[in-house]
Amino acid sequence: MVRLVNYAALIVVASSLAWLLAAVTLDPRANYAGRTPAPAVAVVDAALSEANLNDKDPLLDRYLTWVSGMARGDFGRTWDGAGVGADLAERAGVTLRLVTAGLAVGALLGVAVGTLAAVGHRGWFDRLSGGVVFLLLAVPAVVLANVLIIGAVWFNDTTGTRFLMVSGEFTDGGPLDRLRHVVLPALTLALPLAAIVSRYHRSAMLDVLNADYVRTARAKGLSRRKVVVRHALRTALIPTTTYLTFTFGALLVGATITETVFGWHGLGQRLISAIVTSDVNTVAGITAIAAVALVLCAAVAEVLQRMLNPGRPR
Amino acid sequence: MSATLPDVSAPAGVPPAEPPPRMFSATGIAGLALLSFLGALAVLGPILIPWTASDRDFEAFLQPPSANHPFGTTASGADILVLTLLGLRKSLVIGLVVAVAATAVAALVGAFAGYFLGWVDRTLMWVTDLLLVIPAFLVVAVVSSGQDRWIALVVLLAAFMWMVTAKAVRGVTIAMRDREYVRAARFMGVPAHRIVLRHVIPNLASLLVADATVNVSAAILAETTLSYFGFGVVPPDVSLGSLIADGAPTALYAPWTFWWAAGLLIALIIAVNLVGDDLRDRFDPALRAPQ
Amino acid sequence: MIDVKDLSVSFGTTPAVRDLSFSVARGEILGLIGESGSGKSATALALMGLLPRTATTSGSILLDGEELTTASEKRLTALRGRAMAIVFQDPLQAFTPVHRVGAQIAEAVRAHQRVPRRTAARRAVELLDLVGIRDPHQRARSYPHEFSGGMRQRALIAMAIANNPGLLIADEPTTALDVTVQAHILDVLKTAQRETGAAVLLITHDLSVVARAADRVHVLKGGGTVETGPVEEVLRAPREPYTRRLVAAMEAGDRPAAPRPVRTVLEVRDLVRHHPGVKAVDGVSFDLRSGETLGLVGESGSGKTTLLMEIMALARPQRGRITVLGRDTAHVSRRDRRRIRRDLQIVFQDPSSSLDPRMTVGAIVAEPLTTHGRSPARVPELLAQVGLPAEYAARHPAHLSGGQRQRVAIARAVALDPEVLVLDEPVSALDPTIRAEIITLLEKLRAERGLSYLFVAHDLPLIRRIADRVAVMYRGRIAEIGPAHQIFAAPAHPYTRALLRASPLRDDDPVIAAGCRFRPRCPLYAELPAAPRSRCATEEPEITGDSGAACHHHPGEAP
Repeated sequence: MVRLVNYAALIVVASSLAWLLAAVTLDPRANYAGRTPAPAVAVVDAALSEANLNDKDPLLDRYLTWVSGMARGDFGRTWDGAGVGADLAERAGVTLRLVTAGLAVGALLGVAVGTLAAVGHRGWFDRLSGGVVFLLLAVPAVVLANVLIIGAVWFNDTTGTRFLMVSGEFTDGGPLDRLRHVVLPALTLALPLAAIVSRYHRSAMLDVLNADYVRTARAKGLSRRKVVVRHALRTALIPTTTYLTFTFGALLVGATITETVFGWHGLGQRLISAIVTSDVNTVAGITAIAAVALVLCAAVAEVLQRMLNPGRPR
Repeated sequence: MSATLPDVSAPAGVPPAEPPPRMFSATGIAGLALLSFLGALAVLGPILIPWTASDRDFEAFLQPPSANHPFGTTASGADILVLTLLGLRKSLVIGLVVAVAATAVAALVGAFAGYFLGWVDRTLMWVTDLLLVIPAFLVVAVVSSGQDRWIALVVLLAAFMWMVTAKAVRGVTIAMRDREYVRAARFMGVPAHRIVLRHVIPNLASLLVADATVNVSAAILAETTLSYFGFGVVPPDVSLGSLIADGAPTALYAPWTFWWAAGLLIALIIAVNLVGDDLRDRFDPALRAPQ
Repeated sequence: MIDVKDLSVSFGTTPAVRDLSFSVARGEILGLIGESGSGKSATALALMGLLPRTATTSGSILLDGEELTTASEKRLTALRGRAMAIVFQDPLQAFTPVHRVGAQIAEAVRAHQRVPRRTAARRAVELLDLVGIRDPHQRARSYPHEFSGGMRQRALIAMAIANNPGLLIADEPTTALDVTVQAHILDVLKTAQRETGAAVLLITHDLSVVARAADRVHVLKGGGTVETGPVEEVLRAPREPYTRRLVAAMEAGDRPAAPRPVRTVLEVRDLVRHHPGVKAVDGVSFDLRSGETLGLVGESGSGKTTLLMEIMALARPQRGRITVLGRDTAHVSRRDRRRIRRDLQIVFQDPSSSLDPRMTVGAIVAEPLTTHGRSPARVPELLAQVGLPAEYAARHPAHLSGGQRQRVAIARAVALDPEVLVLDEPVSALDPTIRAEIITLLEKLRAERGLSYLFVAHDLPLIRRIADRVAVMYRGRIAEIGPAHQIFAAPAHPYTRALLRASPLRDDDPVIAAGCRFRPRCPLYAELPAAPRSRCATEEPEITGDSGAACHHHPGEAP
């Protein structure tokens, strides 16, 4: 109960703070500055007031308007009058698809590599994967995205197919078409994620592989493979899952670079463009979504823990 | 040894001797060497090169590497070598300062929250969660305008980078509260804040050093991202991030505008990570104990 | 059945086992005894083929005529659990925490027998029943943490005998368990051996375990054999000095009876500490007088540690009263509390966790002094008093032996010249011979400084040697309290009697809501006629005065 109140307060305070910060410092009026012929001040004022963005209206009034809108589920308007709610809903879908693909690939890859590295501790695979991970961790997303684009151009040229697409979510919307578009951005998210997860999972596995119960399982005559899968991996997945859950939440608004480079119109990319066009309501809306995502992730992590670790003393 | 003992018999078992301090591992030495090399480049390079950041060579626009400009030139005729080294300098400073500041905040917040629990914990963790969801982009973009922008940037990056470490520190501290040496200190009458500073935080050193190095890389990468969107270091200052951002559009047909900065950035982070891995091993008391 | 010849195991350059030879016949129990570092566990792992890859082995291990040292991993996997099985010591970790106990036993069955899941599950329930788990159907569906220590140990035995192995290795199967539960486990182990006809190798550091269960004994020291022979013979007439010391540590004389000192330094009245769902301490009263040693015994979970922590917290208890040196802890100021701490110090069980690994020995011993504004100049003197050379001040705890660490912990505890020392199992993490040294040190300090000890232990001979008075705790209450010589000579409570005789008692009975809480395990209750029984079921027995037993029917009371 206390936690529920805590979480609710977190969502309200976070989005309010974001709104206030944006409302005080951003300048939606600047969007009209470069127009020729310059629109009349009264016209601009009217348009801005319509969107609840007019800096001449009292801040408290604007805040109350925004809050009462949010309470009704109305996210407000952008400076040119479009509804924020519908836009963000659509973008949330885009981001969700991208992040799900990236996270799934990254998690599978990371867990597989981490497991194999731990089982062959200090062996050739451990060293090799360790080296690759080191390299991946050092590559910024911008660079990785550009490398992947260069690689895709080369791949398309050599095969002569134009299979990999570097921009947008889809052209005609078919399943194969969507796949062609998702490969590169998903990899941009997945590779660094896999690198971190593999390290994380490797150390979790190493802890578990030294546990007494793994020795017990070996002593009852299970093969090494069965012991690793049924006893070690199963237990080591518990901390790794929590990590992945929170990463998922963070990526929902944190995939800015990937979305921007590959032209996916998601939430992260929208946050940047909203700051540039001084769309106070959009910025606050995205913050609210981030807060809700964090809270949901905490809840999901809790549920997953209960499922994966039924024996945990509570 | 028993001769030095009074009326009790000698403790049995050969006491393991204090081993000599462990040397850096081969990878650690490699990392250290690379890091020093990059540091020297960043400090000395811009002094030795005939060009400065504001110089324009009006005979060479967007030229590939040549004897005059070993790293090539930008579209406006600036020497990429000097830009890159200045960027390296700024990125190094940003990375180190931000990491140290963020890790210090994380250690204090996490350790106090985990040790005291109750309302102290709830308050601190609530603030931590709040900072996790407030978009750093927004704050950095709107707050760090004006003069000395990059110092504001350092402060803001640090302010938005300690939360995850703080949560990890808190978790470990909660486990440590019931360690017997912490209890022993409590029962001895050591005040709580001193227990945190003297027993809890020092025993987190391996975690903190590891996280500090991760944070160096993370700070450099975060600065890169911010600069990529134009919210980070802005002209006349340059950082590796702003150079990468400037070079990305021309990466395909003028690779020198992009790859020198990208390559140095990667080398820098690899060096930091190598040193960090080694430091973590050195600080881990479990590894120092005789097996 | 098993024939070991000239077995040597080493890890890198460190030898763990040297030229060890023994054999165990079918139906026989061989006790392998030795301290930590004597190579017992390495031997067990070598037999199972489970040594880490860094270990090198030489010599020969013949199991039923088959050489194991050269067997392939595949062959070993086939033999493990079927031809040979092992019961590990259980520090809560021997079962995978995320799988149900029954499923883990069924997994052992299916590893070697082609039977359907259902049959394996049924077999798991039978096995749990065989080792005396009550309600085995229900219990098979429990997770490991829902079992008590004794139940987990029995379930491990059930798993080990799932495929009727020819050789059963038990590696410290009763360590960390209460003596009565220990006795029960050993009985179960014997039952298991009878059922399977296996050869049993019983590895332990505890001579009483060997005395109770084994036919022959093999004494190890430093990786080699010191002495071997039938158990009675070795116990009656140990030839080697090392074995003699072990045997001597098992027996202890009484401390002379003396009148109680007058001044009370610690008084606990009706203390209650309930955790959610657990009545950890449920009405405990005793007092400790100046210069006296009160031994506190009881199984794990009886509330001893909670009791100590309540005393050390110096705070207002949930209910009841704690008075330290005349001051009620519920009404002391912050400053007074700090002052009391000078006179009340604690030594923990495991010195490797009670010393801050990052501090030097000197800094550790100096900490209480500097905390209370005194000069750390006394550190070398304190180290000398606990038998450590002054140059150890510069070392870190990691580079001391276990016994040396406990000396450091004791030096820290006496640094402020306290009046009362709380000792929480101060020697149970140490080997028997080191144990004796630390006890000698504690006795010396008590004599020199007139300390009062509140001494928690589960080792009864040790309590008999060091304590003036004894309190026996059971499920959050004191079952019996009184002068040590009286309790050891004429125990009044049935639980005390069971402890002293090491009679087997189960540890999985339900928690009692009303009446005598020992009732479900009580051998006396089981024999009582219905009329006096009802009193046990309805009325909680109380102790009045500073000695007595919480039993309605002990010899001093009318039945």
